[in-house]
Amino acid sequence: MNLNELASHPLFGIAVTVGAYALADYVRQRWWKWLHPLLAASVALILILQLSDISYEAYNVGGSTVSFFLGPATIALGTVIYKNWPRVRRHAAAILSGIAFGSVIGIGSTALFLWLFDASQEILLSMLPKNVTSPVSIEIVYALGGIPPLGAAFTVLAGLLGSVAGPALARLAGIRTDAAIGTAIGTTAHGIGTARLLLDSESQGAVSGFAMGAAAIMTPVFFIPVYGWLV
Amino acid sequence: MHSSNNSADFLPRLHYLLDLLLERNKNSYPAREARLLLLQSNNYRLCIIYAVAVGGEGTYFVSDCPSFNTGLISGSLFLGVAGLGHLCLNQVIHVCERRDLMRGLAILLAFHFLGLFIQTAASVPIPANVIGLILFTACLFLKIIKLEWVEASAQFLLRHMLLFFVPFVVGTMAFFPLIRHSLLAIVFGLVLSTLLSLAATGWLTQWLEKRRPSA
Repeated sequence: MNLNELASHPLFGIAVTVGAYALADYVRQRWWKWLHPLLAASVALILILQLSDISYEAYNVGGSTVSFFLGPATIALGTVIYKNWPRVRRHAAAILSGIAFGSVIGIGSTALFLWLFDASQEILLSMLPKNVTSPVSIEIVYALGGIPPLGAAFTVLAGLLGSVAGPALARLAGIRTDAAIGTAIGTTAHGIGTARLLLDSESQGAVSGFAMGAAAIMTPVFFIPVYGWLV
Repeated sequence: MHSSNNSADFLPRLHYLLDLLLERNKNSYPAREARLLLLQSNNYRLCIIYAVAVGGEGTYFVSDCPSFNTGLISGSLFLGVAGLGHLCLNQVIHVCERRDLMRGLAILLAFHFLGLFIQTAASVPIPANVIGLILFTACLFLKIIKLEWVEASAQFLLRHMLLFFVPFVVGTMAFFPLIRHSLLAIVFGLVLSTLLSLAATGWLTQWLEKRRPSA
């Protein structure tokens, strides 16, 4: 029996993804609240796929069905913004300045560090927009002439990093208000960070969702001079 | 499920009662359950599933199109289907005023599809889900969409949003060899710049926020 054949039935990808996530979330709620369910489930699935020699393409037949729901979930962020609007509006100027400043710092420091470490041009172009939500970053990477799938991988890794380390870093850096934490994580860790914040605090999640959306609109604008410089 | 003897005014009155109950306590489990049971015996479910299926299929179809031209053709094709779906959805919204989860999901999918449609038709450089989010948020503020129509399904999706990212993170494994090849540059570029911009965003926001004390 060919394992890959069975695995390329959509049911396989859906079942193992939901199963791994449910297990990770159960462990988080029950025993170990620092466990990041996304990180844990993904690492487990990568190990399973590697060990059983099932290709990612086969897995993703079902996997893409799971990630399809990211669309309606992103739309659903509207309810969070709506419900927490008074909080966002009171600090609108601070939040919007933070988003703009953070986006520029993110792009600039990526270019600086990659230049210092002498990375190849294709890695540089694929990584520049990594802090904005993946559908936007993929478009920007494509327009810059980088490798879009690699850009998507960097974006997901950046989001994962901000989601895993972001809350702790914010605490260490003395960032304590809900608006500042939400803005910081929404600007740099987009949807993955927002989803992490929503596990604990709806008001941080609301600001984060707002920041993610605002960054998605602002970032393509910031890249206009970069296109000019490349041409 | 419930009494087969539905006199004309019995159901509306019961619904009104449940309305009052739910208004007082939105999370009242028995009230929700009762409402669900009341509605389950009708045949609206098929109609809703149909609307969701139309929305979902359309999204898949258009996003799979290889080029912009075919995308445009299928986009205009879908104008017809979307019109049909819209009619159907309107019916769903009117008929099932109080169907919690499915109605919300249908609305969210409809906005996602609307975003995709606008993006394809006008080739806007903003992703479909962000366009959908902007329109949906605007509709909430303009009171075109009521929060309670979508709240239950929105909360369900948001509570488990991390799940939907799992296939993407698993997908990064295809790039492990390349990442390993220039590990140092990637670690510095990705990790340091992400943490730096995270801290910078937070500091500036907090500083501005505290400089002008909130009302």
